[in-house]
Amino acid sequence: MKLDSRLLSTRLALPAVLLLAGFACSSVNRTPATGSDPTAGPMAPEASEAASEPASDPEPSNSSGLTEDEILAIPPEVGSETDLLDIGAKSLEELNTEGHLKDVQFEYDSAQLSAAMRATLEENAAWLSRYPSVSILVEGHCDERGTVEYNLALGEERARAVRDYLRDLGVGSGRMRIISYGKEFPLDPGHNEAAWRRNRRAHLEIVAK
Amino acid sequence: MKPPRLPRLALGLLGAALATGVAAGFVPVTGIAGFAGSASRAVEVTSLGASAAENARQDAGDWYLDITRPGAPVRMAIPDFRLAPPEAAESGIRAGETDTASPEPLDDAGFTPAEEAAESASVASAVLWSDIEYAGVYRMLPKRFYRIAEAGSPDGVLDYYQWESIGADILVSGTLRIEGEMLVAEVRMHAVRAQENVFGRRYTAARGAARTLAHRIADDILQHAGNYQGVARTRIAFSTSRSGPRSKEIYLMDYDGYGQRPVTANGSLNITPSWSPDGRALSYISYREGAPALYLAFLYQGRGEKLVGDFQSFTPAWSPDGRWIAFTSNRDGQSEIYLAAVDGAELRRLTDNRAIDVAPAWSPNGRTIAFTSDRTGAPQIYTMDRDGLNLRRVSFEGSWNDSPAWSPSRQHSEIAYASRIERRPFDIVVHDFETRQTRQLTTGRGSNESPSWAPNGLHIAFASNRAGDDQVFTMHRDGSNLKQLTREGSNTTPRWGNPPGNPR
Repeated sequence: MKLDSRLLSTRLALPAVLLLAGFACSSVNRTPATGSDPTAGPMAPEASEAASEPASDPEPSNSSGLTEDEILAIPPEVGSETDLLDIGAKSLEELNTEGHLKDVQFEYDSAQLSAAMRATLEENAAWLSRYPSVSILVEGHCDERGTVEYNLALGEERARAVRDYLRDLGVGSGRMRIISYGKEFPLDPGHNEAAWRRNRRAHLEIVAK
Repeated sequence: MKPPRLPRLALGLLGAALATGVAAGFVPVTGIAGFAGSASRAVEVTSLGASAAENARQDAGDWYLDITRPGAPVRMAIPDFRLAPPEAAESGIRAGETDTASPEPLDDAGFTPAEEAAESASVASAVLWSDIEYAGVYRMLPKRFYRIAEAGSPDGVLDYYQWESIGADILVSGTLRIEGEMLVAEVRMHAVRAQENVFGRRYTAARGAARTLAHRIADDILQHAGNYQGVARTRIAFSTSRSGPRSKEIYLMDYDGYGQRPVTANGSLNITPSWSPDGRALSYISYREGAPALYLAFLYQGRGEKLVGDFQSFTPAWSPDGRWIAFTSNRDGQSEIYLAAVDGAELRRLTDNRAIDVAPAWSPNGRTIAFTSDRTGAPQIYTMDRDGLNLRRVSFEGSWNDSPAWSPSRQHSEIAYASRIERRPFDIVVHDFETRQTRQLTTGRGSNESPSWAPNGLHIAFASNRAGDDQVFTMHRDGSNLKQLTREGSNTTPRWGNPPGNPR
C-alpha cells in the first residue's frame, strides 16, 4: 500500500482527478446518449477543461476531497450505467473514425511532450480508463522533411514517449503496443508547415475492444 | 516453343502469390515474387580467339595504353550490330528445322524470326551504346561518321585506316543472329591505330534477352578496353508506393531503370532494402505481421524468411562477407545497432545509450560500421568498429545528417550521406577520409536522400523529390550525369547491388 500511495501522489493523481471530472460531468448529464452522435458525448468539452487545469498545475494534488482509498475504489465501470459507449456494438473502424482518442503533434525533430500534449494524453488516458477492455497501438509518425532512416527511429521515440506517459497515467502496459511508421504514411499529403505539423504525430489506434 | 520472358513470368508468379494469399485469407508468408525464371537470362561466353595477343595483353592489362594519346580522350566507335544469317554460324548449329520455303512462323508478339532478329539487334545496339556511354570514360564517336568508314571497308573487310580517319581509337563491332531458341552475338574489339583485334567473343543468350546480352558485352568491353568495372549488369532495389494505397513494396530494376519488377507483394509496408554481396538476396523491413520485422528474400529461390521478428527492427545492412545483417532494434527500449547472423544463430548489440542509433552501413572490408546517432542532440554520422568500439564522429557540419553509405571503391575512401544545412532540404554530400574534406554533390534541387554507391564506387543512386514525388536518380560520383530512373508512384531508399552471383 505504501508503494501505491507514492504512485498515487505522483502519478495517479491526474487520472484520478480526470476520472472524477468525468464522473461529475456524467452525473450532470445523466440523460442517456441519444445515439445519433455518441462521439460528441456531452462530457467531452468539460473533460478537456478539467484536463488542462491539473496539467498546468506544478504540484498536482488530490483536490477531490476523497481519500486515497476512495479514489482507488472508484471502479473503472463507474459510468457504464449511463453514457458509456456500447463499444461492443461498434466495429473497431467505427470507434477509430469516431475519434475518441486524439493525436498529439510533436515539434520538429523532437519526441518531447509539451504541456498541451500531456493534457491531450490525459484525456486519452481518462477515456481508456473508462474502457479497460480497449487495447491500442501507439503509432509514431514524422513529417517528410526528415530522412527516411532516422525518421523510423524518431517515430519510435515519439510512440514510446506517448506510451510511457499513458502508462504513468495508469494505462496498463499490456494494453499498449508501439509502432513507428517514420514518414511512410503521412496523414496530410501537403508540402507545407500545416501539413508537416499534422504529420509529426503520435496516433492512437484502437486495435481491440 | 520459346521460353517465357521474365516479366511475364514474374507477373504470373506475383499474381499466383496474391491469389494464394487472397484465397487463404492471409498475406503470403513469403510474398516473394519468384525470379526462378532468371536462369533464362544467363549469358554464355566463348572466346573467338581474336588474336594471339589477346590473352597475353589482357593479363598484362596494359594493351590499352597503346591506343591512348596522352591528354586526349579515348574515342570509341560502336556501330550497330549487323544481322548475320544463321548459316554463318561458326558453331554449325542450324536455325531450327524450318524450311526456308515455308512461311516463317510468328512468335508470341507476332514477329517473324527476321523481324525478331532485327528488333533484338536494335535493342542490343542501343543498350550497348548507352552502357558504354554511362561509364563516362570514353568519348562516343557519333554514328553518322561511321558510314564513311564502313563505305571504305566493303564486304565486311575491316579497313583500320578508314576508322582511324574518322578519329576512332577503339572500334567495337558485332553481329547478331537467332539460332533456334538462342540469340547469338559475336563481338570484336579493335585497337584501331595498332590495327589489332584485341578481343573477340561469342555471347549466347535466350531469345528475348537482348538487353541482358548487351549488358554483358558492355561490361566485358569496359573491362578489356580500360580495366574498368562496369555496372551494366547491376541492379537497384528500392521501395515503391506504386502498387496501392497505404502500402509499399520492394522492387528492383536494372541500373538503367529498365525492368522494374516486384520482389514483395504482400500489400503491407516494405521498406529499406539491402543487397547481399552476391546480389542474389535482399534484406528488408516488412510490417506484414504488424510490427516492422527483418526479412530476407532469396530472389532466385523464390523464398523468403523472417530473420528477426520480435520488437521493432529497422534499416538492415548486409555485411560484405555475407554473414551478418547490421540493423536497428528497440528490443532494449532504445534504438540501438545490432548484428544478426544471417543463419539466425547469433545476435549482438553494438551500441548502448539513450540516443537514437540507426542506419548502419558497412565499410568495404567489413571491419567498420558507419551509422547515424543523435547522441549530441542532432542526427550526425559516426563510425565504430564492428564490435562497437572505437567510436568516431564523421560529420560536423549540418543540423541533420543521415543515411551513410560507404564507398566500395578501392581508390577512394569515402562516405556519402544526406546532409541538411540550416533548414534547407537535404543534399547528398561525400566525406573523403583521406583529405578530410566534404564535397556536395547535389545543390538544393528538392530534397535528396538515401545515397547508395554503385559496386564500382563511381556512381551514386539516391532519392529526390525535385520532380514532385520522391524518385530514384543516379549520378556520377562527381555529381554529373544525372539520370531519373523511376516515375511511377513514390520511390525511395534505392540500394545498388552487385550483379547476381558475382561478389566483389
